[in-house]
Amino acid sequence: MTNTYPETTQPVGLPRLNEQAPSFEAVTTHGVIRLSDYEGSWLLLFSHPADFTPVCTTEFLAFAEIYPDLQERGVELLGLSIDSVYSHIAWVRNIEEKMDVKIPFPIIADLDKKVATLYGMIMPGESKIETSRCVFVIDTKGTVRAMIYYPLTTGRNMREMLRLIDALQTTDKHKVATPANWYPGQKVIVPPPRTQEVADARMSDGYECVDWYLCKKNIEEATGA
Amino acid sequence: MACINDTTLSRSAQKLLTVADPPATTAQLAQRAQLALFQVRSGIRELIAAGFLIENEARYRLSDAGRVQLYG
Repeated sequence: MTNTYPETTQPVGLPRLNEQAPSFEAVTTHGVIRLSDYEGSWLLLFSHPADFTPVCTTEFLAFAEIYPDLQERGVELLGLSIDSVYSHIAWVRNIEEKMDVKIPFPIIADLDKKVATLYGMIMPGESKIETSRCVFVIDTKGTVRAMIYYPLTTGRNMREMLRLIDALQTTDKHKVATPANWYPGQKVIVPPPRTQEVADARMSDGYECVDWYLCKKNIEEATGA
Repeated sequence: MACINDTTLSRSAQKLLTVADPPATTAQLAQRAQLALFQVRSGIRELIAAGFLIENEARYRLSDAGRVQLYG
């Protein structure tokens, strides 16, 4: 059981933001899955170093916990490590047996490292035989929208996963940006004005402006909701 | 590679078979089977390769072999 992907769609180099995510076909715990199977959904593709390891187990429990929240946002989860599908099956069964948590999403068995290599998930300075803790947020059209890389030692923050998805989807829906530490319900950043006239108007149009180039607004106000 | 390949259909693939009569699109199958789209697309490939489903103009229907698989 090896993973393959169409040669015609192979990009040169690693994934980049706002470019098409590299396509693949991979053996998973839920059968053979292609990236294109997720067309129309958002996808959070993430790698972990190895099955039956402590930090990864805490992460899988946490990913399983936020899975319903992700699904509410139209996001699917797909895990990956350089382990066999039998190892994955044994591990998720162990998690369910020992921790009473069902892992509801598929995990790629990337024994030949094809998908890991395609996405640059292996950091040889850390480990030549394991994937680091990488996250790729891929939108409904298959475009890479965000990438996060964490080292082997550091478990990911699930609130940040949800916050990131919320921020990206808010940007798409309202054509705005989100400030540092933003959470849904808080004010968003409007694009800087491109003309002096708009800059002048911005200061008196009900926006919360620190200065003409840094203005925030409530989304509800902007949409009339 | 395992020493022998398991050819048992997954539960979601069996579920897809049961809802493919009458013929349906991918989205309709997803709705009928209460499965995510990615599961339906992946399952359809598995079932077509096994000869249990037939595609015709983006609609999927049970083949004779699929009917036998389902109802014996």
